[in-house]
Amino acid sequence: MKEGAQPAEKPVYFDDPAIQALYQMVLILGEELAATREQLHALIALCESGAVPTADALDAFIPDESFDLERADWVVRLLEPLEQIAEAQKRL
Amino acid sequence: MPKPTAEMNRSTLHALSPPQSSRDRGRQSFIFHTKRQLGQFARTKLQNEFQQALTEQAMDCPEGSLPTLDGHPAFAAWSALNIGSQQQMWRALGDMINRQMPELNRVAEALGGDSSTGSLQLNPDLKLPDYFASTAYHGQPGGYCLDRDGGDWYAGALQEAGGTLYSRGAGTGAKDSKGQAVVRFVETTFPEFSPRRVVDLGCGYGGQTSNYVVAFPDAEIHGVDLGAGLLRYAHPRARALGLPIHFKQACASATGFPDASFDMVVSNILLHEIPREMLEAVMRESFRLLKPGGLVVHQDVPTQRPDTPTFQQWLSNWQVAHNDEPFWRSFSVTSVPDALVSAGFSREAVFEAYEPQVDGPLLWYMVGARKS
Repeated sequence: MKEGAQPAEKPVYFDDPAIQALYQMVLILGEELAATREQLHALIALCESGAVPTADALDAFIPDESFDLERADWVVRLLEPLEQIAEAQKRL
Repeated sequence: MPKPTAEMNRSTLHALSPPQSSRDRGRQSFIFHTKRQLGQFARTKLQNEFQQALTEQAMDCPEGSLPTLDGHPAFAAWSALNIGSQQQMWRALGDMINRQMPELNRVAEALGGDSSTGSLQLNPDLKLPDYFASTAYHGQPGGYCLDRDGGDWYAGALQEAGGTLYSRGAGTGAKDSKGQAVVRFVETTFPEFSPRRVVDLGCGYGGQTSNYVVAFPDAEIHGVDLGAGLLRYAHPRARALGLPIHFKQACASATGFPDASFDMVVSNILLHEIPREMLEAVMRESFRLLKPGGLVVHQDVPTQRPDTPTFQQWLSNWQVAHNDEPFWRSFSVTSVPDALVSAGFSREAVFEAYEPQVDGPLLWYMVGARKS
């Protein structure tokens, strides 16, 4: 099976399919920003500790738990508008 | 060689675990937190919407099935984000594995070993069943049948990485293990049982098979799966962990092993991934493979638990419709005990149980029988 099996088409939830595509774009942007935040955090920590911030050193750097809380917090903020959509629906 | 005694679970790392770069860590943690947050949103806001729709529907149509939330803007947004997050997960993990494939190949080749450290038996002439060749389980690109060339083990690496990130995002703990749940169930229910030969049907990348090596250190452990790309990863993975497992490419319904050649037949979340006729054939094969006194245990998702909350059923239905699970529905209306009895087990010997996850909020369905 050189090509293998491909995932089934997923339903579109909006009259305008561009809106669904926009949600995906937001996720991709969020993911890229998360990757950059991760590298930046490692870079600053390495610089502060006086280590040479090589690519290998960046990859080997494991952030502490407080950074994971920061990661979680900004995803919460990113998705917070979902709550507003749900609340707005109730008021209709 | 000495067998390992450590627990094998979602945290288990080995020589073939692709190292995460800083970027990988950032991308995957974003996906993990997104999945967690979307799950939280479902359990709060969407559940409220659902309960309201349920109440309204009950007034209109008391015999009605589960309501739909189609048309609710928050549900549409949540659905779009969930679909996007799953696609994003496979891409992030695929990038991590593909980038490091040459180095990981060198690691696998350097592992060496002989038959005392397990084996791999592939069958290039095996005709893959259509359902297997056409399903990209859980949206995994290429599915479990992907075999890009004669040495490809991408499907197995992706199955392990995807399973781990997906379950953690869904609320399963890092110490969870379906195989350990089976072992715990067997130790509690059949305390005197001590198998000499065990076969794990639909073993995939071998993550659960590992637990049977640890639990039954004197037993010979076998794993069977259709996917060559899964087994090519499972074999060096097991070697890297010091686990002597014999992997064989075959269908779980036609393993090619002799009659009455195993004391124990197990499967982990296989049954909901196969069509009904295949499930029945797997039960017949389980009966054929077992020696008298042998034990079969199939562990799977608890779709038939009578007290499953209605919202949980609705959420499962969403997953089924969006996550490439074509046989979930047929599994949820199939009586596995009846299939076991039709396969030859006596009705009195058949058991069903719901067992808590080792590290997670769910219950697993355990179904099986002892052969008289």
